[in-house]
Order: sequence, then C-alpha cells, then structure tokens
Amino acid sequence: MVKAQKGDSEAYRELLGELDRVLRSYLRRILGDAGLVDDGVQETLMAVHKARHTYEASRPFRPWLVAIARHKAIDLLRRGRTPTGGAASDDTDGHLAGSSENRPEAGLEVARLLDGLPASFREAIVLTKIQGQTVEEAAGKAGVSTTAMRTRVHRGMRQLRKVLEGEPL
Amino acid sequence: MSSPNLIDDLANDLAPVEPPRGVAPSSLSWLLLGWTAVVLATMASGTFRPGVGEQLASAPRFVLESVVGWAVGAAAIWAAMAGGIPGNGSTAKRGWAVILLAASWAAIVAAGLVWPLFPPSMAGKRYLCHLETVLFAVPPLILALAMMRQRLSLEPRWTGFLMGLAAGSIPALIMQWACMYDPLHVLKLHLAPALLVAGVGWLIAPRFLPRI
Repeated sequence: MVKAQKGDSEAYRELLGELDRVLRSYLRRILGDAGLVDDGVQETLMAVHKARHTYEASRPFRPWLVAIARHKAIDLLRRGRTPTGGAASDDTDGHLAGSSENRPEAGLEVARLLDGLPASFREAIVLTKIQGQTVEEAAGKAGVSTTAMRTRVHRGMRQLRKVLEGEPL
Repeated sequence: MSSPNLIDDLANDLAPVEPPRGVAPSSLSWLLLGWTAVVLATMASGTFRPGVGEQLASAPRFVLESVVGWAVGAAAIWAAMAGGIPGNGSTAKRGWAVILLAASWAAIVAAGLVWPLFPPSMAGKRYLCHLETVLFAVPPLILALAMMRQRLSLEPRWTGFLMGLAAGSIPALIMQWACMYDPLHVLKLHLAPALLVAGVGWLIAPRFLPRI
C-alpha cells in the first residue's frame, strides 16, 4: 500500500488482486449470497482506492482493511440490496461462485450470525433484509407497530455489527 | 464489472497520494490554531477578568478546573483525529472516555456550588458570554472539519460530536478566565453552550465528512 500511495500502479494491481481473494472469502462468510459478495468485493475495492491516502505506514494494514470491508458489508446489509446479477466473477479461491442455495454453507454462516441475535431482532432482519419486505409488511406479519419494527431492525443491525466486529478476516 | 476489470481500472487511475499527518501533530496543530483564534476573538470583544492571574496563582482548585477543561479539548480532538484512521479502534469508546472527562470538569465546577472557590462577584461579567462561547467555537469547529476531510471516519457522528466538544471547550474555558466566575453561571452559560456546539458537530459531521 505504501508503494501504491507513491503511485506504483504495478504494486497496486498486485495488492488489489490479493485483496480481491481475501475479501471474497471474508464477505462470503458474512453476506452468503454470491451476488452480494461480488457487490461487496467491488464496493470494498473502490472504497480502498478512495481511502488509500488514510493508510498510515506505521500502522498494521489488516485492521485498516477489515474496518473498511466491515463497513461496506454492513452498508450492504443495511440497504438490503439485491445482487446486481452481473457477469459471474472469477472464483479465485477454488469455490463455486453461486447463490446461497447452491452453497448451503453460506446460508449456514448467515444463520450462525443471526443466531447471535434475540428472536425479535432476528425476525425483523430476516423479514426486511433477507426476504425484502417493507417495514410496514414486516410489522403486519410480526403483529407490531411500524415504529417497533423499525426499532427492532435498527437494534438488530447494531447488534449484528458487534457480532461482525468479532469476525476474523 | 468483474473484479479483474475493476482492478485494472483502479490501477490505471492510480495517482500518488499524501498519507495523513500523524494524530498527535494534527491534534497539536489544531489546538495551537484553535486557541489562538479564540484568544484573539476574546481579546477583541473585551478584556479578561481583573485579578484572574492572582486567582490562578492562589487557588489550586481553579488551576485543576482549568487543566481539566484544557484536557477535555485536547482529548476530544485527539479522539476525533484518531478516529479518522480506519481500523484504529472505536471512536465511540474514546468518545465515552472524553464524556467522562467532560463530566469531571462539570463536577469540579459544580463542587463550587457547595464549596465556593471565590467570594461572590460580578467582576468581569460579559452579558453575551453564552453567545460568545458558541460563536468563538465556530472557527475551531470549521478548522477541525477541514482537517478531518483529509481523513476517513467510519463513525462520523461520534467524530462530529468530539470535534464540536473540542471546539466548544476552548471558549468555555477561556470564559472562565474572561467572564465573571460563579459556578452556576459557568455551568449554564459557558459549559452548556460548549455541549450545544458538540451537538451541532454530531448533527452536521455526516454531511461534511468524506464517505466511502
């Protein structure tokens, strides 16, 4: 990264290629869905590019990268974004890149993360962020007010952030 | 776009960048410039309280109060600057530590309600000290926002709060030397406006700080 900060594009290309592999593995554990992982990797690479001036050579690189990757992963989960469904990406670490239906372990990882949440928060996140329902629809299904559902989603995401902070890269 | 294409684009788009200045030099620069601006503004708008030098020399508790007040500003700006480097620890955790320090400052002042530090006096009273506290905090807050734009905070609201608290604490402390000294007056018209500036920082920072 220090070379990249000085403008060495070859070193930078090599670094980004390495980050692509590391991020893909990290985000697959968190996001599960292959489309979301592709989006997450690309958004994180762009964020790394935009934030490269904030890296200090005297500090370790890994925490800097993890903070940015986690921020983008949470951002993606919060937006409840659907995958772009664009061209299939290279699967550099030898696993088949597919949806979570094709890769049950990805779904299991997401379930494991959600298991750490109280039932009401888990339900709120599953309904809104995974099934893609609106807050109003989710509130109707859970039998609570929309304000209560919004609160549950917000608190659930906050707890999920804490769980993710403990996830290794 | 697949990652290899994106990587090529990003590598081709690469331009040299300057790494950020260290947290300590940035914080010291801010403190120096911020204090200079507020001292000049205070002197331009009036005088310091007559006898404040003797009060500082004779009352260790007043010195302690002033030192803690200074430490609040220094700790707040250091925490904000440190939070501008991704992966450099939680800004919220540092923020709570600074809040604890600020509460200690208020507690030392509040102790004067029970154990008065000085005899009651209106000497040095500035009638618009609360407005001056808020107004004089604006240049340091703008400076902090400008310096933070060279960094990246992933917790912009906490960073904004800390920058606001740091900016507000300078005029709040200077008013303790320039305006009349009465604990209730200090709490309501010097420290509370500093807290208001911290709230403003909390509100505006997400709009002004860079995002990724």
